[in-house]
Amino acid sequence: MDREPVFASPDEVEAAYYDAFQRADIDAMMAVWSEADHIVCVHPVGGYRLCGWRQVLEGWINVFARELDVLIRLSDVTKTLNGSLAIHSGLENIVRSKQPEVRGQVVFTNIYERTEAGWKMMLHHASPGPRPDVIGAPAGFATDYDPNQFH
Amino acid sequence: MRAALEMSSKPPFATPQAAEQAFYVAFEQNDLDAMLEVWAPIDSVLCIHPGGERLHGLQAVAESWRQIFGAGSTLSFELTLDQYTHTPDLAVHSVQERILVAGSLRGVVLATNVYEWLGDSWRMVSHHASPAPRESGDVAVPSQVH
Repeated sequence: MDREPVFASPDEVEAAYYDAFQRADIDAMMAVWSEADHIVCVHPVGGYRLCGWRQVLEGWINVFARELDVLIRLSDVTKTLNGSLAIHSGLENIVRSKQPEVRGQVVFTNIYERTEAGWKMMLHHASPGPRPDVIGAPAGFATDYDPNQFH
Repeated sequence: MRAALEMSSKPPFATPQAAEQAFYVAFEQNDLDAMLEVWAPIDSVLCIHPGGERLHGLQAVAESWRQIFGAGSTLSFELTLDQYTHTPDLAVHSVQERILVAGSLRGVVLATNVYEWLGDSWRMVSHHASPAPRESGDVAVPSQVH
């Protein structure tokens, strides 16, 4: 097995993350993640929170079992670097490479941490983007709130 | 005099936890001023309400809270399953919000809350919230995740 890559910056981790995602490469994907117990991954489908290496690994095995075949282009990315943590936020614009008319948008927060083995992903929180008619807070957010209506 | 000085130099939120508690208390009490006190007064703040668009900048974030509170929010929160990562200047909290209306569970939301030390206080710089399965925000059966 190849030696694990060492990422010199949060941007390198992020590039490797989306490359591994698009290639559905589980080894490359898990090389991106910190091995700390506090890692967190929330996928936009299902909305469960996966905590720790084992759950995050199982989550990606399930994602990659679906033959994703997706292309992901990031937009509206903002970045904050503060000591040993970096926070990137933006939109994932997703198309299926064989069905370019199928499009989706996902809001993401990616948090990277500097470890002894270089920069690693610590948290990935992805959730479905708004429906076209939703601006700001969803209608009924305050008074008749049922998050599960969004599934 | 000395007591007054100590009072005046006391940061509003001395810890990320204090800022987080103030965030949810302000939310429950529909208190816009208290909510905006929690947020960092900077243009790079981010807020994603469940199912909502990504709001960037204090003005957009404040307007969203104005809308939510203006509608007469009646939500209360139980926070569970917290995961914290802290550095001297930045704190990342992953929390599960169990949302109650009149005492009954109305939904579960996962939130990634980020706080930054701004020299005088911890303040919220990012709130990303998304709907979670009602039974639990954490994975119960990994094979059902997707």
